[in-house]
Amino acid sequence: MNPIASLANQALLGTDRRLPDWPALEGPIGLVLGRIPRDSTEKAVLQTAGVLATCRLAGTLPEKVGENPPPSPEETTPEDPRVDLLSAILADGPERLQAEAFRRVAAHGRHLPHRLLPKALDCGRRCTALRPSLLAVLGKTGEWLAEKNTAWAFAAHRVDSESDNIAVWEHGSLDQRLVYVTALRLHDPGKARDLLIEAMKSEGAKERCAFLEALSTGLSPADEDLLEATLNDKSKEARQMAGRLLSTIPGSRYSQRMTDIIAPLLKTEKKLLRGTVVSLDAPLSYDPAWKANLIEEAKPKGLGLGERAWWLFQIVRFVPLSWWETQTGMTPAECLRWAQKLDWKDALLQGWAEAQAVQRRVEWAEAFLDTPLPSNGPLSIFDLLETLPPPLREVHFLKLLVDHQATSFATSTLVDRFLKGLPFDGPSLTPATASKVVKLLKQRIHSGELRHDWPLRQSLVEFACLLPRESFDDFARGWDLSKEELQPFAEAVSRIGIVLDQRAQLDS
Amino acid sequence: MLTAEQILALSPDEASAKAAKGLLTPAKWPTLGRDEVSIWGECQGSGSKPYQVIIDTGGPTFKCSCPSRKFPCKHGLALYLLLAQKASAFSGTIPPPWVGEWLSARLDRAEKKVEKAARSEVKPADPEASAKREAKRLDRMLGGALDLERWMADLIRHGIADLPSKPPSFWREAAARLVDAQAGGLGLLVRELESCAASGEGWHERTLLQMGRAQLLIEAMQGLDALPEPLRHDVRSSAGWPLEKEEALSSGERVNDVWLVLGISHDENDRLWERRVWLRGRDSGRAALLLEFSHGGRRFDRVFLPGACFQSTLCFFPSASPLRALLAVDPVEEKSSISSNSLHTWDEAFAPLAEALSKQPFYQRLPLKLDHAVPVLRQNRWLVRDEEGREAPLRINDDDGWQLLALSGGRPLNLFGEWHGDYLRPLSAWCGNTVNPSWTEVIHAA
Repeated sequence: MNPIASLANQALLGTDRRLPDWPALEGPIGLVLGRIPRDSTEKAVLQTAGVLATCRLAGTLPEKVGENPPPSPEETTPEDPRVDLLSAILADGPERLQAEAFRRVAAHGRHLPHRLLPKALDCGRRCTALRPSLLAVLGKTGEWLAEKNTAWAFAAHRVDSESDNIAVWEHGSLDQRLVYVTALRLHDPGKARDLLIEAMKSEGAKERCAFLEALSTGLSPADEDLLEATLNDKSKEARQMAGRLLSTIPGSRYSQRMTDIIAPLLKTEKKLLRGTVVSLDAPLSYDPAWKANLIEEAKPKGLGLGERAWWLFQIVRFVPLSWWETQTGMTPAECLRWAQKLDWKDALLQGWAEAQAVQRRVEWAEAFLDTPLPSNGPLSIFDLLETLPPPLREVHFLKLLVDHQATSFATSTLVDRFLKGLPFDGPSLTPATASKVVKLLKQRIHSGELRHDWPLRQSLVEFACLLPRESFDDFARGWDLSKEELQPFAEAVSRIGIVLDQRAQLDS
Repeated sequence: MLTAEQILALSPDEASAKAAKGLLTPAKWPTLGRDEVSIWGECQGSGSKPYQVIIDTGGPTFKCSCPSRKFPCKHGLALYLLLAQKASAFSGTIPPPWVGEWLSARLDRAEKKVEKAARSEVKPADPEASAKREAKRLDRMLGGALDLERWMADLIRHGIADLPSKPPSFWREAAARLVDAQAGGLGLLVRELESCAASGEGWHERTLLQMGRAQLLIEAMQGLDALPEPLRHDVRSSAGWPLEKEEALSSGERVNDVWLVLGISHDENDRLWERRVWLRGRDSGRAALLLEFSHGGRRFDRVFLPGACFQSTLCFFPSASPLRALLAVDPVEEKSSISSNSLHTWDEAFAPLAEALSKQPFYQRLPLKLDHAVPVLRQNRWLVRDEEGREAPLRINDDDGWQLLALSGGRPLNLFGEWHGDYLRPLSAWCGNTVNPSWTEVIHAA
């Protein structure tokens, strides 16, 4: 044992209990130690320690521990030189701006500056939506670094071997299994289905529902048999999920059965002077055979519909929306107007709303946005917005913003929900819409009417990430900061200026 | 010109940095201008009259007419950040009168200071009275030292096994007794013992060695008169009574050189901030330390940037192995960078430390540079590896550690830091031949 360790071990016990074995050392150190008087044992221990401490300090030589861990592979792309800009964006920028920055770096064929990698990986850890753009600019060093920190596992081992993955499916948590099987659906939907069929046999109700939901990725007629079988599932939730999915598969046996049920209830008559009149009736009685198709006889307590309306609603929600267009020859907007005049309008509109929530048809979404929606229904204006392709979506967003009184949503909620529905890599607003929105927001803020909409200060900064180049100046300038009404927005205006500036710099 | 990151590092606290970022809109700045030596701007605050902000880029030195006691204040930081971010907004090129006034007033003050220093040098001291005062204080300090010796001997007698479980008050009281005896340096050693005892595996070795070093200092105090002159100063200042700055300036050795700022460390202890600026002379090859204290916040007169060079005369505190120094004249920024000697192995890197310790064994931390340093993460411990594959522990927080690892990519970089006996506290790192370090330690309050 080295003399320091042995002296320290003895010090643990104390000299009262045991006298120390004095270290015997050769050479000059031994000479110095030999001159230490031993009349006070404690003092001699301290002095010996002092000599050894000083000598050890002066003669420090760290030890060889092990192999040099392999360095990161050489980069194959150049490093982006805009360290300050990217660093500021990673430190304070909204996530949407961070995603844009990553895409710009990738567009130049570069990787992130190495010093920013830990920060960038932390951003990716917190925000999954950032990950696709981040992974493209990590470079070799970023991947190498991510492997060393479990918190960054999402960026490491990106090309997993098949066996690793299947281990996740077999032993992972429900979340991990869902991630795995959803990813597999994109590459090999058949194989994913086989795994799900196996799992459905043994898993609990909660898991079965989650797995069914995973099936909605890459859903195709090939999934019909599995879903048909699930219509008999023990769990009501799972049965409903299967019905919803089947109603979105074109020409599925299930939607065929549903249209067979609804067809006799819809009547088209040619009437003198009034042209074609389309009418809808509710079922007169319950057919026990419907039960297999998820139509229940007894209506839930407290439902605002009558018995017959309840049966009608349950049929309508699983009928493909396109069926109504072909049968009546009306557009979705015309359908909605027609429905308003019917005796069964509540059941029909609610059924359609549920159908739209699952089937997500653009024309129906637009039509619904122009119609007052049943409150507490399955459709919110934001769900409808998300159904629309971006150019249509922004037009309706602008409309909502203009008549914000009508929806009773705060401006910040409208802006936030609109932003939230847009993927990070989507297009900017068109210049025409952008300039109208900017004008509207500025005018309302200057008038003071948004003074108490606190979250808006944050939303505005994120909104700046969605503007096209043409609107940058418009949004950054012209804020009259000397006005009392603008004081709550002073910091937001400053941040807007920074964000737009950074976006301009990213472009150049 | 500084980068945004360097500017933010000058901020006295997090709040100032955040507030400065909120001022980065040109709309708030009715006036913005710059020339070769200064940056100026007027910032619209809550009052009617805008604040006048000036930065002398040479230091840099900040001046602002706002009432904030922070230094630099958010306006100064914002002005510099704005320049780094949006130089095009700085349209002014001719300094307005208030800029010129401040710059020349500053020059006047500097001259007066020199005059005052010159006057104070001739002030005659009463040698007899001061010798008496000195003897009295040394006596008190020695009393405290002997008290510490008994306290440690007691611990050795009864065994040190239970030290890690001692309450903080145990250490605080022992240290306070030494502060009362005007031997604050010994008090710090006691606090150091506390952290040794709490340092995990191997703590008993580290604690015993640290006690041993304290013992040597106590004995040096007892035999102070027998020691050679420069070492006497070391013992005195290690025990907690360094020379006053004026004394050091009048008696210390002066070295004129171009000084490279290798690294800067900040430590906070009970709201007292210590800043250590580590320098190396281009021609003399001398290591130097500028040590300053600031109570309450990080407010220091002068700004130093790692990697920067300046020309100045340093005045070293007397010591058997001089290290701590003062600026004897105002530094002048030097553009040239200094190429450094290359120390690739621990053997080479430790040689200057061994040399210094052989003359002055009481140093608790010494500057260390390793030019072939590979940061390594092994079983959640941060280490640094030399060319021969020897690894020494790093004292570094995780965020800093990851950044260092990312910068190196597992390849060697140039590392500078403080050697604390058992570990290296890295302060700055360079990848490649840049003037500015690629990494510097992030400042943390205790």
